[in-house]
Amino acid sequence: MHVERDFASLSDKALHDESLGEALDTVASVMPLIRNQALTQLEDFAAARERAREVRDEALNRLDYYLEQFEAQVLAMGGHVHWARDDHDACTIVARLCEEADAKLVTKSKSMVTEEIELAAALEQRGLEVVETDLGEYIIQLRGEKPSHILAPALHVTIPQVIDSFNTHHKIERDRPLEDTDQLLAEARAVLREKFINADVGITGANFLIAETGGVVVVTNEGNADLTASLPDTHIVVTGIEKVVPTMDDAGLMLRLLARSAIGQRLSNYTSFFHGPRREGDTAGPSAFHVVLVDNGRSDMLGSELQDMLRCIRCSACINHCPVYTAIGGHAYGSVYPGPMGAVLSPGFADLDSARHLPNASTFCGRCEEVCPVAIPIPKLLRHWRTQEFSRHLRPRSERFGLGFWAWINGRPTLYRFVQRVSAGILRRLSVAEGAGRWIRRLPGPGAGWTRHRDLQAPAAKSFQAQWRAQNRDSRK
Amino acid sequence: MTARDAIFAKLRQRSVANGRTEFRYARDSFAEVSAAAPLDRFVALAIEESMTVEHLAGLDDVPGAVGRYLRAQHLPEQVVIDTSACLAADAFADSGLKVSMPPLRPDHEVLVSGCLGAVAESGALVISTNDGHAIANDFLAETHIVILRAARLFATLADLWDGMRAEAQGGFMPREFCLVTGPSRTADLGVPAKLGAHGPARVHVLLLGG
Repeated sequence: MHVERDFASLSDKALHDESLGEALDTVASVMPLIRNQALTQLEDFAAARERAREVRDEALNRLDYYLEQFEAQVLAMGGHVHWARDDHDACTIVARLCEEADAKLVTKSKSMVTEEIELAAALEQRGLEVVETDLGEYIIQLRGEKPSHILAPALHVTIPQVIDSFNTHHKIERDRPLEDTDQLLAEARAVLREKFINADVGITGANFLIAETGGVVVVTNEGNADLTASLPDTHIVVTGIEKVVPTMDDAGLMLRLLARSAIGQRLSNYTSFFHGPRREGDTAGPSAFHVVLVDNGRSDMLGSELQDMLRCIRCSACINHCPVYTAIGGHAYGSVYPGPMGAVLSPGFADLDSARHLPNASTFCGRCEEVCPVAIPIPKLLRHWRTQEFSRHLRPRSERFGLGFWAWINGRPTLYRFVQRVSAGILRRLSVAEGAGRWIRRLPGPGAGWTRHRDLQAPAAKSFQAQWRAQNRDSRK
Repeated sequence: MTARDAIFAKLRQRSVANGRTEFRYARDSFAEVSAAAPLDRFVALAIEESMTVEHLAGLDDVPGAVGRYLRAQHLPEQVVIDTSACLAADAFADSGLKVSMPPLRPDHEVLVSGCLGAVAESGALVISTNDGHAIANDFLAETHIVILRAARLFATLADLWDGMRAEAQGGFMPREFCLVTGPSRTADLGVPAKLGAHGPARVHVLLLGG
């Protein structure tokens, strides 16, 4: 997986993007409300969450067993299962399957694993036409962009920009205007309908795999996954090995929590269960059914401190509640997995060296862990990566020197108190009195960035330690 | 070593639990609780999710109801009757509708079909490929009229799973089944979501019996 290294400049750019800011404000204000509302429908969310955690842990603790069960069921129904160690393996397998199907046109529904392995680009390189069918994915495909949110990939795109993209790319005779969202929707529906009907291969992801039945579960609100899967002669499912759950009952519980945590719905609009290829007596449906199971770093997380992250069901609640994500959006992370979940996954799927800035892009406020429907201790896992980053000497020399210097001073109490007294004195001299306290309006040098947008409270006249000593002295008198 | 062998070797080495167990069938008990009767619950949630529902005594009333619905909505009076509806074309002789059987063509906009059942807890219809039904038609239609028998209503998702296990043909689930909670919608052009993304813009339920 590819991760951009310039987090600082990308986030700076994002902070100055006004239309992005408006979209993110909507996420931050609306999504927590509708999630809370939907979760209160459940009698005991805490108990449901605990059970969901158990279900995912059970699947991961015996992952080999449940994957074997799933595979056996798919084979029994006449489907095929393929195993991919990494992104290259996965793209090669899918390309070969497309070639065997003599495919020219491939439709695809939204899948984060296919974004992770950059499948569309790999197929296009081999001369195939690949069309994203989720409306948001389709819009960013026309714009040549990556998703900026795992559920709403075109969150950052404005309506006038969509109109521009459609006008540029839809080279069809058209007498209808493209001015409002109704017209845009009708346009997309008409263009993509052609693609659905003429596609040779349909590629979907999977939200869950069910070991009991060999079922592949895919949720959408648009219905695009069903048209992608059912109309072409070949259906290829591409997903991660960690998506398996033991039974249909387990899947039911996860679906209930997924839709509520993600978009405040009882269930997604369409929750589809696929079981193998066309059967005797069927008048329609794909004659070939393939499931490509991708490892790509997941088995390295298994049995390690990072295993908890494999419970993730990609609901995006942590993203919607993150003060960092809702300020800078998804593109700044430089990874297709943004926000808190992405900050844990990206170093695992790519490498810590290129993704080292992501575990640091957190205030550690803990909301991500609080809202996670499978109780993933995200801050703990971010801390794990930070520790790794430091011990593997991946931090720049200046940061390592700074931290080392800080540790050196902290180890010398007399020196520490002296430095603290001097710097507190300087800061107080820079401050002005206002109300009950003193505030610094403008800091020089590296502190200027802080005071550009807010004031800094001046340190107290006497430090905590000094006050403590004085109090003890007084009480002894 | 094949990729499969390599992955399994690693999983066996790293999986936490060494002991093999059989499936632990823990019945799901976390359904949303409601004081309302399942049928009332389903109807209320279906309407909340932008479906429309009409109660009918039996299958004989369907042709008349379809005609009334299409005229009230100012929709084309031309319908495709899927075999899953269990209605012959001549049942529509007096309805004044132009009726055809599948396949669905691009100029067909209204589909009448049956379904596997519904789930009260989620306000969801369950459509499936049972009896060779071409499920893609349910997504291609602009207006989807679904015949639901009240006896096929499941109170919770767990009840649906039990029912599906009992009815599994050859031990297998239907090739595809789908829980549908309303017209196709998208939030990719902003909020509130817009109806009629790729699938039906209207889902009308004809509820038989109950």
